[in-house]
Amino acid sequence: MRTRIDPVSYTPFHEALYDLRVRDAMSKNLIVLGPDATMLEAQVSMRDHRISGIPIVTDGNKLAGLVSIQDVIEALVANDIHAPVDKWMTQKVCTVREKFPLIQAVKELQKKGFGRLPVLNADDVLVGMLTNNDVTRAVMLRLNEEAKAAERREADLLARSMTATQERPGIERIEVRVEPMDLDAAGTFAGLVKKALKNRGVPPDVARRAAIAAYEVEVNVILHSMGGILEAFLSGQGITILSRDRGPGIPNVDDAMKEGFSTANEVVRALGFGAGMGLPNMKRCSDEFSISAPASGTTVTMKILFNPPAPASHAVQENT
Amino acid sequence: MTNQKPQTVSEAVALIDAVPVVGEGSGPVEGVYCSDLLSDVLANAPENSLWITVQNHRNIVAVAETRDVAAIVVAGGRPVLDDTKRQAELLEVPIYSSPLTVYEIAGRLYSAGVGRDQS
Repeated sequence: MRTRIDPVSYTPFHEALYDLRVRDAMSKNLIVLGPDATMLEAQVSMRDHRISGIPIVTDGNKLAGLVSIQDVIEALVANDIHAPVDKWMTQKVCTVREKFPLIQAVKELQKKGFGRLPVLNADDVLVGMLTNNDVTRAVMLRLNEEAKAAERREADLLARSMTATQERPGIERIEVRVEPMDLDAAGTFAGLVKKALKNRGVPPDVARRAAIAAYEVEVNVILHSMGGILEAFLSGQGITILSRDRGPGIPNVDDAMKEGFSTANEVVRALGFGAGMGLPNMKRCSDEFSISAPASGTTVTMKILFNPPAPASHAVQENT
Repeated sequence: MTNQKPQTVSEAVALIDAVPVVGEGSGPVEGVYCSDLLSDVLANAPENSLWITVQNHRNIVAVAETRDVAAIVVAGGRPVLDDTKRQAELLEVPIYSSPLTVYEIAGRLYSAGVGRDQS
């Protein structure tokens, strides 16, 4: 559990400080000296590495103390720059554990005005150093990651809302994209329509009519168009199936609506398609049916009501 | 008729030497429809019927599922394609295979009273 500093000023920056551990931010590139090094060596090392303090360690990297610029100045003033560091170093060093939340280290740095904190592991071994710069860099990296993750989530949400989910409250939308001649995919759209209607508890005969209409239009787009989009919108009253393809349209819609009229080729007919019953079947299964078929693309709209006013008119025609 | 009229898929398929290829239909049989035109089946197959066909490709499964047929019988000993079997397993549509022709199958089932209101 984390405690909030102050609900008002609680920002993503603070959140990162609570989420991150000291070891996530510390620099592991350690510059250290042994206790027998001189203060001059400490000063040279700090100058060369542009650091403001240097940890002094004994065997096994146990922290013995810290030499700061202040310590060097005091040694210089005392004309004792060649003395070993353990004479001048700060022995009571403030440290943090690598597993601590970063926020704790930040408070320590701020409270005491230190520029750097040695980081120890559970065995008191020196494993890193933490400066204000390290903290800032780690938090920035984390915020950057979070921003990227948020962008991905947003793109994901947008993609999902554009495909299969709800557009208006209470209306369920199904969308399937159809590729020309992809007969293996035939039935995908019809299956989704049937499943959705089943889930809604729509009477089986109504669901079947809708599924048949959906299947026939799906097969038509596969067999006769350059591809298209099939959509179904389900509301409390009924289902509307909308098919839009990329052409080439139907030269004579009246002919196409006649049973037995087909432009399908022999290969397709051998598979049992192209019986010339697709459009008549769709019309028979729908309560409302409309088609427009210019060369730019055919649009078929079919509406099937869940409580049809005159059920007798939906009985499918018997071909005996 | 002395013989009992078959009431279920398993009773009906026993009459036509059919073996299960995918699943086994345990539901009732109320009719039979013989056709190789998919749209014709969609338009006219009775509910809970056996659909007798020589088509063996995967699209027959979607048609059967859409039309709520009880089971598909592939006639003439034609092999059921692997793709078709997979799709049938997915959509839980039973498929049987019979070595008999569509004519023989229809004859036997008709004689047994399947899909006829009175015997």
